[in-house]
Amino acid sequence: MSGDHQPTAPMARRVAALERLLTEHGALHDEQVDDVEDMFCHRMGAQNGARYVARAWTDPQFRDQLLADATVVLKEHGYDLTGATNRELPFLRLIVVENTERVHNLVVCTLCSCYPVSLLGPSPRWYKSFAYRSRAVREPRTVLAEFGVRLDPEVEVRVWDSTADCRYLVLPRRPAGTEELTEEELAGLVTRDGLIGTGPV
Amino acid sequence: MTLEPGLAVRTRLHSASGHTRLPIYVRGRPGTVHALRGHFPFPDELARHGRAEPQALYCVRFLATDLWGPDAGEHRVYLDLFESYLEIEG
Repeated sequence: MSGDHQPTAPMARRVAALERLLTEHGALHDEQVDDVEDMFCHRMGAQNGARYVARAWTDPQFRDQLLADATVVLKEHGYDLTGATNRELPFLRLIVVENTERVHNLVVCTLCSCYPVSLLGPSPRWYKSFAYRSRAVREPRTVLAEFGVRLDPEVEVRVWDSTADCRYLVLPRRPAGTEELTEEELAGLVTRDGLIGTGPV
Repeated sequence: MTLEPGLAVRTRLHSASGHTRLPIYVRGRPGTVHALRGHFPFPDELARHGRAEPQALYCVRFLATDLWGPDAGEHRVYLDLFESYLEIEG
């Protein structure tokens, strides 16, 4: 990369310089850097959360376990956090909240941007925005409508402000007409926003 | 002491001089214990001293009207709050 003189953002240049220094001094190996990059770009992501949702839709016992203690289920079903740079992750509790005909759940972190990164991937910019963080707890129905989620007035809205050591994942409602789909096909329907509560699925 | 689900509580009006996980918008507000989440190092202390004793963490449910006034609508807001932030109501 030393022959590359394309304009680079200052932060990217600083990161590159740090990476070079750390590898030159043997504090980091290229494989470790590649591993972290691979983790954030590929291994962490909404596909992980989607897998649990699809399984919960097709297996009632799994759904019950997930709602009762998602942390235990994740450990049992081998979600691999090995190498996760976010060292707090193995100690956090995961809570899964279920959308039903009568309840819609929405997740926010008003204090910062807490979020189950390993199951959803890096959080979207809007999740960290002051607007979302302040409005989600104040006027969630309006916020949801702006995301395209229009709820009947009788649907109860529950907002989960993840202020401490728990992370929240929404279990969306299974779309109608998906009885014939396989678990894998169902997982393909689940979106990141659905797992935050700002999308229908 | 364990606070049972359904118990009426009120958040303290404490004004922390340092780090806290009690957001301003829920200070001094009535709520209901939803669940015990477990025991975790108390962050207010952790931030100051680099270590802290584990403390009970409760999920507490608030009515929007108790947070934002009569025009707030019908939604509910749930927060995970440490025992130190709570007092039993009444």
